[in-house]
Amino acid sequence: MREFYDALVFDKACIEFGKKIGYHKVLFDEIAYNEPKSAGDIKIAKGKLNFVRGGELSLNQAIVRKNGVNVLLDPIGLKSEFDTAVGQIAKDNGVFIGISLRNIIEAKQAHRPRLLSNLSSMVGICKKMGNDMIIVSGARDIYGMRAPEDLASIGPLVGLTRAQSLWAISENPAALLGELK
Amino acid sequence: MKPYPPTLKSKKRYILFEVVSDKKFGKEDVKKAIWSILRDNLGNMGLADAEFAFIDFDEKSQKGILRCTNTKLEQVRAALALLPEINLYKAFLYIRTVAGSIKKANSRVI
Repeated sequence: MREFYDALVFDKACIEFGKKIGYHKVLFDEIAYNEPKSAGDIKIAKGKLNFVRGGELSLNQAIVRKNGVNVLLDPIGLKSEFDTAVGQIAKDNGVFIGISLRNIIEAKQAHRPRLLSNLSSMVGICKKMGNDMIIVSGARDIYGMRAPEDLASIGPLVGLTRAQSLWAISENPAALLGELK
Repeated sequence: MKPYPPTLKSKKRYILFEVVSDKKFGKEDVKKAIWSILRDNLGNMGLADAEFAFIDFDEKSQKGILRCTNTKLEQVRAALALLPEINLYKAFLYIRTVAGSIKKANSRVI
């Protein structure tokens, strides 16, 4: 049977709750989250999985070039800030591309269609460049979490197939966790 | 009028869900929140395509049943995952199971 992972949560209570709703493992202690404003702000924690939230195109390029970054999270927002160059560098450096459910939920109603459209174009580029993708909940509390099947259902909204989105919450996070060991 | 043969009828899926929150909600609150999030994300045409229906909600156990067609199940699921709150309280819908009949859905959870 497939083992599901939620690779990014911000509350310790999510670990126990995640097991109740069907996750094999919820990553909390293993991660270091960083939300830099510029290339100089990117911090890398040793011995942890480094999730760095993206932003502008130049920042995204700096993130995927930086040694020690494991995941570039939400590289796009209302503007499409992801191109084939970023995708290629991410692939060469073994950086995963992450999509967080919180980013979609917290988007304003009027902005959500554009966000989903930009995510679709990003997923198209990722597929073309062969990037590894993960889908995470990014939950701040247990109410931000979703069951694995529900988290996987976000994939088809942004252009992944059902099988690819299940892969993005099972095999890819497992491979990511393997990098830590 | 001659009825449709079973092959021409759309196949239904019953979604058994549970509301997870620290507050208990009434049927009307849950119904309103679900219709609202689905209408926002799928639209009226999408809901018509999905043949969506709110079947029942038990206020005591905070469990309920929704219905849609098998072809639109993934879209309905994705839209339900985007529900952040009910009646301004943080909550989410935990989908317990999906089945082809209400009886089977209930038996799988119990």
